[in-house]
Amino acid sequence: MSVNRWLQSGNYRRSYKEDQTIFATFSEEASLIVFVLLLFLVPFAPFMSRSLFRLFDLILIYTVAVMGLNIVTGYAGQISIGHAAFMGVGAYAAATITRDVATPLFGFESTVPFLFVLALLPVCGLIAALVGAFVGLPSFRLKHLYLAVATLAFQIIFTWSVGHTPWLNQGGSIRVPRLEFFGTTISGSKTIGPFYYFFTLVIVIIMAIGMRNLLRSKYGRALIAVRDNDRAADAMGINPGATKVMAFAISGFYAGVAGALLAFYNGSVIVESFTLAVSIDFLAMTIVGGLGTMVGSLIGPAFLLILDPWVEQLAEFIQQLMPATIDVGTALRPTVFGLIVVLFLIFEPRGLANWWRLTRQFAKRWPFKY
Amino acid sequence: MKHVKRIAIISLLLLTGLACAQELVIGWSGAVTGPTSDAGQFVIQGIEDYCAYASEENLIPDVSITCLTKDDQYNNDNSLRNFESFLDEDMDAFIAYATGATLQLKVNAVEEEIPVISASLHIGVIDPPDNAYNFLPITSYSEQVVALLEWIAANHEGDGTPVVAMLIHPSAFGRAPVEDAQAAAAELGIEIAEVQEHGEGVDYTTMLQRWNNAGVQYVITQTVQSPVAALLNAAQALGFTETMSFMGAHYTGGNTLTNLAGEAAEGFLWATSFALAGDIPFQRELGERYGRSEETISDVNYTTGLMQAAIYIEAARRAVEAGEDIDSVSMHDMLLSMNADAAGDYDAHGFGVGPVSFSEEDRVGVDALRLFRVENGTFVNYTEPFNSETFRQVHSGQ
Repeated sequence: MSVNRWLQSGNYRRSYKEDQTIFATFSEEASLIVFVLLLFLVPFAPFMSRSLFRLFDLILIYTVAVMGLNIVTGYAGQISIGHAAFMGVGAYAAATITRDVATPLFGFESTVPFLFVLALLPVCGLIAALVGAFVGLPSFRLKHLYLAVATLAFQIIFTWSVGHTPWLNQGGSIRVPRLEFFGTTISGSKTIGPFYYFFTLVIVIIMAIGMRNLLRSKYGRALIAVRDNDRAADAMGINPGATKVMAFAISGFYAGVAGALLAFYNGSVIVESFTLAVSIDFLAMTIVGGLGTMVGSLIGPAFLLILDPWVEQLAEFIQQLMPATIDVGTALRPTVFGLIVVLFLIFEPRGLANWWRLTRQFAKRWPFKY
Repeated sequence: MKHVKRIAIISLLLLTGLACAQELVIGWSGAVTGPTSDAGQFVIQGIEDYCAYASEENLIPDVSITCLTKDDQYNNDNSLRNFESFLDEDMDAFIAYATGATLQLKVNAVEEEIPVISASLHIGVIDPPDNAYNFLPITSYSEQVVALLEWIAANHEGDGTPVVAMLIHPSAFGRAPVEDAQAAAAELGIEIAEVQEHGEGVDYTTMLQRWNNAGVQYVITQTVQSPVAALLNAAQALGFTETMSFMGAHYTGGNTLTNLAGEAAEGFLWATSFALAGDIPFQRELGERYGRSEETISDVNYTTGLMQAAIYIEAARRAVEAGEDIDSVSMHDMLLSMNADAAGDYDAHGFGVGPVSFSEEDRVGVDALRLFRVENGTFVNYTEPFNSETFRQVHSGQ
C-alpha cells in the first residue's frame, strides 16, 4: 500500500491480499489495542463494586454466546431460538464432567485446577458443537420460520429433559467446584469478580480473533454466501446444507464455552439460566448489537445488560406508585426490551454496530465531513 | 471559648455515639414485579413493616436497622447481582425469595458467610452440600406433603389402599417433594397413582377424568394457587369434589386460593407452618399501623415477610445482649443458638404455629405444621400443630 496507513481516511485496499487484512489502517489497529488495554484497566477503577463486577463478567460471558449466535443468525442467516439451550449443554457438560469424571479420576475435592478448566472449556464447546450440528440437521430441508421452530423445539426439549433427569438434579442446582489458580482458591465475590473479568476478557479476545479469522476464510465467506442466496452459493460449489450445519456447530461451540464459563463463574448450574426467555434475550442482543457484525456481538450484550438494572429500577419505582392490583412493573421490562428491538428493526436494522461504524468514519475524516 | 467548649463536647458525644453505634443490614431480593410478584409484593411489605416497627420501637437498643430491598423480577441473575450489591453495603443477613436463586446462592452464602433465610421451602436449600448458612423459616414442601400423606393414612375411610395423585409445578420447586412423597407413601401403605406436572393450560378435565377412572381418592398439589384453583373448578364442574379430597403444600393455600376458586375451594386442606392471619393480632396491628390494605394484612405472604425480618432482628438483639458485635458471623451464631437447649426458642409473635428454633442439625424454623381447611370460603384450623414423623424416616438429607 502506498498510502500512509496511519492517516488514510478511506478504503484503499487494491488487491485480494490487502482485502484480507483485518485492519484497514494502523490507527484502527492502535485504537483497538488501546481499547483492549483500557478494558484490562477497568478492574482497577475506584468505582468498581462487586455488583458492577458481576454485571461486567456477565456481559463478557454473554458476549461469547452472542458471538456464536451472530455466526449462525447474523452471518449464515439461520434463525436460532435455542441458543440458551446450547449454552446449557456446555454448562451441564462442565458440571457433570467435573463431578462424575474428573473428580473421581483426579481426586479433586472442593476446587479444580485452573489448567483443568482451561482444558475443559473447549471440550464443553465441542460437546455443544456436536449438539448444535445435530440440531442444525433440519436446516438441510427447512428455512426461515420453519427452522426457527425446529430450534425452538430443541430449546423446549432441553429444558424438559433436564427438568426430568435425576442425574441433572431435575433442573435444580448442581454444584460446580471453585477454581484454584496456581495455589489460590478463587472464591468469594471479592476475588471471583476481578478474576473472572480478566479470565473471560482473555477468552472473549481469543474467541473474537477466532470469529474474525473464520469470517476471513472460505468457510466464513460460504456462510455469507448461503445467507445471501443459497441457490447461488450452491451454483458456486458451496454445499448450503453442510454450511448451515457447520454454522450451527460453530455457534454451539461458542455457546458451549460461554455455558462452561458461566457454570464455573456461578459455582453452580441451574436450568433456569438456560430457558427460552434467555434465548430470546440473546436474539435481542444480537439484533440490537447488529446482525452480521462482530462489533455488534460485543456491543449488544453490554447495551442490554447495562440497561436492565435501569429498567428494573424504573419498574420498581412505577410499581410503588401504582395500586398493588395494577401490575404495571411486571409488564415494563418486556415492553421496554420489546420496544427497543422493534425500534432497532425499524429505524436501525444494522444495530448499534452501524452507529459505531459512523462514529469511526467521523473520527477518521475529522475535521472534514467527507 | 464557650462555643469551643460546646463544640468539643458535641464532637466528643458524636464520636462516642459513632463508636457505639452499630448497624444491622438485612438484604432482601425478590419478585416485586414479574412472575410470582403477587406473592412477592406482600413479602416485601412484611419485611419493610417489621423493620420500620423494630426501628421505631428501638427493639435493639443503640442499633440502627437498615433493610435493603430490591426487585429481582424472579430472575436468578438479578438475585445474585442484588446479593452482591448488598454485600457492597455491608449486609449482615440475607432474605432470599425464588427457589432457583436460593439454590444457586447456597455456595455464595457459604463463601461470604452470610446467613440466608428463604421464602422458598425447597428441601434442597437446607440439604448438603453448602447448607451451612441456609435456613428455612418453616417446614419444607417435602415435609408438608409427607404430613398430608400421614393425614391420609390416618383418616382414610373404607377398605383398600388409599390412592393418591399429585399435581406439581413443572420446576425444581414443584418436583422437590416427589421423591420423599413416594418413599413416604410406600412406608404408609398409600399408592401414588400418578405424578402430573401441570402446563400453562387451565383445563384439567381430561386429567381429572383419568384420575377418576384410576380410582384416585386424594389429590395432593405442590404448586401455586392459580393452577390449584383451576383444578378445583374443573373438579367441581365434573362433580368429583365428592369423591376426591384436594389438598396442598404452603404456596397452594391462603386467601388467593379462596378468592380464585370460590365455592370450589370448600374442603381444601392446606399444610403450612404459618398461623392464619386471623390468629395473629400482632400482624393486624402492624398492618394497620403502616396503612396496609385488608388484602395485605390477611395474606400469608405478608406473614412470611414479617416473620423473616423478625427472626433476624431477634438474632441481632440476642447478639447485642450477649455483648457481641452485629455482623454476619454473630447473626449466624445467634440463629444456631436459637433453641431450647441454648439461648431459647423464639415465639416470633405467633407468626408460626409453633416457636422458631434452629441448631446445627435443625435448619427449619417452625418445626411443627398444621392442616387448615376451607369452610364457608375461608381457611380455618383443622388439626392441632404436629410434627411429621414419617418425613424424618424417609428423607435421606442428601
